[in-house]
Amino acid sequence: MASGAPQDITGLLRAWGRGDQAALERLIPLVNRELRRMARRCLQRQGPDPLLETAALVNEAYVRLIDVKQVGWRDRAHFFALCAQIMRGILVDYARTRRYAKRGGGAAHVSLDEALVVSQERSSDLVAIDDALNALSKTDPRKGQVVELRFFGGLSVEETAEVLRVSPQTVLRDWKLAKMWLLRELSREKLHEPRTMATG
Amino acid sequence: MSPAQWRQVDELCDSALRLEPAERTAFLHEACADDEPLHQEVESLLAYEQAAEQFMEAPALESLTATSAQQDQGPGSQTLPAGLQVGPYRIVAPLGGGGMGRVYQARDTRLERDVALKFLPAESAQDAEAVRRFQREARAVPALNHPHICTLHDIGEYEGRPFLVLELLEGQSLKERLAAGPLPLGELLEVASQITDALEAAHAKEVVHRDIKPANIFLTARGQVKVLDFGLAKLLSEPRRTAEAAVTATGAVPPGDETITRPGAAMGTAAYMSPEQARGEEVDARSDLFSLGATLYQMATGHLPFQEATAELTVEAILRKQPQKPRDLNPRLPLELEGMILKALEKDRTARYQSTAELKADLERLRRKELKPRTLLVASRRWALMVLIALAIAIPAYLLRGPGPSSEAPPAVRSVAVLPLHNASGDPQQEYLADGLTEALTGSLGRISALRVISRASAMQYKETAKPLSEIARELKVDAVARGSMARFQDRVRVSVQLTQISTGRQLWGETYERDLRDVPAWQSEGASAVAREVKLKITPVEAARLANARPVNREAFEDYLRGRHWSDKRTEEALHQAIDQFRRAIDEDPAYAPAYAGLADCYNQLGTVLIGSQPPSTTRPLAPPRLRRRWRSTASWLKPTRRSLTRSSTIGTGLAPSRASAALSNSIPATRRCASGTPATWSARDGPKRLCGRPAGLGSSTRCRPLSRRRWAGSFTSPGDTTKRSSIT
Repeated sequence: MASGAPQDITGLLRAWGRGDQAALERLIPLVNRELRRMARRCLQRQGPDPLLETAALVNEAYVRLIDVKQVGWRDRAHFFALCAQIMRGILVDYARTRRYAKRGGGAAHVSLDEALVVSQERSSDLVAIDDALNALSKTDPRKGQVVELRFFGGLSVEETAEVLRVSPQTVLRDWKLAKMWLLRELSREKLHEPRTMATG
Repeated sequence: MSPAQWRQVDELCDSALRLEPAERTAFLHEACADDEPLHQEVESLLAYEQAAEQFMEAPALESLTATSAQQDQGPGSQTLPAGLQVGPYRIVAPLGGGGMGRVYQARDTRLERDVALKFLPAESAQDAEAVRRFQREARAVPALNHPHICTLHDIGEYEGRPFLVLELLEGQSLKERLAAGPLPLGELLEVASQITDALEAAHAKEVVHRDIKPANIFLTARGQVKVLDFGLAKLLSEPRRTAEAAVTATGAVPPGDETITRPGAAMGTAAYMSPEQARGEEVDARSDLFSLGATLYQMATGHLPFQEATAELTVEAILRKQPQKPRDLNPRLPLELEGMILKALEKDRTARYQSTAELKADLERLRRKELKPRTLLVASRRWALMVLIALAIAIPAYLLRGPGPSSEAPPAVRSVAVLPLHNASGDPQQEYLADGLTEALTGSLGRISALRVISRASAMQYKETAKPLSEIARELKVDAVARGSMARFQDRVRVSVQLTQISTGRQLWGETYERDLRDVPAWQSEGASAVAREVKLKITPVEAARLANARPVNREAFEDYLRGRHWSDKRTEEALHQAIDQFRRAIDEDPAYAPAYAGLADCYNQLGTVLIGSQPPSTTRPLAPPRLRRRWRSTASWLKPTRRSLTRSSTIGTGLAPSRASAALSNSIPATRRCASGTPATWSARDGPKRLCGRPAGLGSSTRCRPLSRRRWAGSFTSPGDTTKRSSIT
């Protein structure tokens, strides 16, 4: 167990579930630390190593950090929503660093090493998606949340529906339209400005 | 853009997406009226529909962690490019997919057929034990060959990732269908009935599905229901626990808690889970019936029987709460259906239906009561498991329904020709099967007295013909023509048949059936009585009795019989002996298989007619084997085995066989003459005694025979263009 005692984190999660915002503020760094550590481990893998899925990763974090017996389903949904948000931060940061490193300092500066072969193209895409997602969230917050939960948090349609308290049909509908919207946004970006300027 | 404007865009996009692409333009034109910017905004979003389908389907982390090797071709995280060769399969395009491994449309380059490749999720692919179990499990699945179970063709491995090769289906899942609301009663009963067929077959082999739910029920574009992921549900959705879960499909699930809480896997399923499954107890066929009950509930009402805010509460409800009565939600439901659904949803499995057959019988009873007999097209789909008899019944039944209340109903068809089925296997070895299926179809149709069916032999001349249908129909004097193709891939046979009415040029009916060859005889008997029930008003009681009488036949006997038919069609001495061997083998396999006796009779008949008739005895006799020479000595001696076989076939066939036998004989005569028609007959009047048997009286010695001229056998006459059933055996 790498980070804080499960009891504390579980308690914080439950407190947050009861509406205690202060608990959330204490919770975020704890979850963040664990997720970051796991994501790093995951990103550093290479070759034919297991590709750890986001869903599995988040679930592992959940099992590690939370005393499952003490929390209800709603707390769990909260936890996943939180994880999605944190994962988004971790991954976009990571992609941004990589893109900067590749572009600015060349391969020598790539911190996560030759071991990890991540396409620069993909990193750029992730940063661009993040930007476009911010724009989407301004226009339609719920669609933005659906994308965050599904794409960054790895949640299934049903889980997303649980978190947002809407029907799975609504999630599917939002997901579909959001993807179309984002793709259009990304295409516009490509058209109107050089790729190197796409950093948000 | 203001929030209000965006809401408008959002709603219009959503509405447009529910329409067929062709209808969208008109819809948007009307909906946007003069608001050109709105119109443009919606259009520009809709333009990305296709492209967005696969976009972001893999979560962010997965797309980042792809290694370079996998960036281009890793089956797990990246989309395989079209054209990539994966073993014998060539990737055509990705199909859906999502979290649980990817699915591709691919081309099997050996068999030239389209298939679906379903890759296992990355996680389970890393677990050597899981892969081993998966392969073992997958090997057991092909035992479930059933028209309503998605066929598993093969398993394979690509760069360490196992994949399944599945039947490629076109259509939508029941889950998608249910998004549009509950099903009308007729459709509901139809779908339910096909699901129970599949479950019954699987349960008979002691395979429990364990994950029956709308997402695992597929409705093909042709209206056929396919149950997906049979026996593989656990493997595909819960790779982590493959070890425990996949050992046997009937084994116990691991303790419920984990099943319920793992993200992405069980949450969608919880609502359909049986109480015993939720408790982690051993599951059996009755657990599937519970899940089917939940699915039926949703089909009938549009709601789940147990749906709470969270999966945990849902499971709690499954264990303890009584579902709301379906008729409270949909008052139009028949009381019986409500009773069936609630019985399937009993918490105590001993209070549920104890077997699929029980539920099926109840559904069937309701179906007969609720559905008017005119729903024949639905009926034919319902019984899609039968290749031959279903075709044989459905076609005449369709033809015979007189002009209905609708004025556009086509005039009834009274005569039909079945053109030889095209062998689409690309394998000449399968010609016998194509011919055999054509014959079976012709023969079965011939049993319905209200329909005139052109004999197979007359229709045979149109094998691979380029003549237009109308011309063929004119030559054969028929109102309608049935034609189609068959293909055999290993042990599977796929037959598709279309029925075209000549006067209108309309396709009246068309259906494709795919089944395991082994089951062809079984379809006949299984389906015969059911279809006869469906259309009893259209078929005389005697005919119905005959159909009900159809008995299952040993598969080897059936294949031998088909081969025998194929050989006997060649009408050469050597081929006839081959045919006799085949028919004898069929009789050895199944001494009560009437058609084999009829075939035997036909061969002996041919030995008398063709061989004696086509060449002067002075030429052929020295070359013939002693056995045959003896037969030539006396007409009676070769007639004996013919008659013996015929008698045998009539006595054991009770209604089925005589018509088969008569078909065999009437077929043989024109074919005989066809042999002669290619080359002018050379024998002379001196061979008189043999002419009696081989040639119709009144034909001159050098006359080329017309295919539809008078035919005669043992003194019975029939008229030109005559039918199979009217020629009689004396």
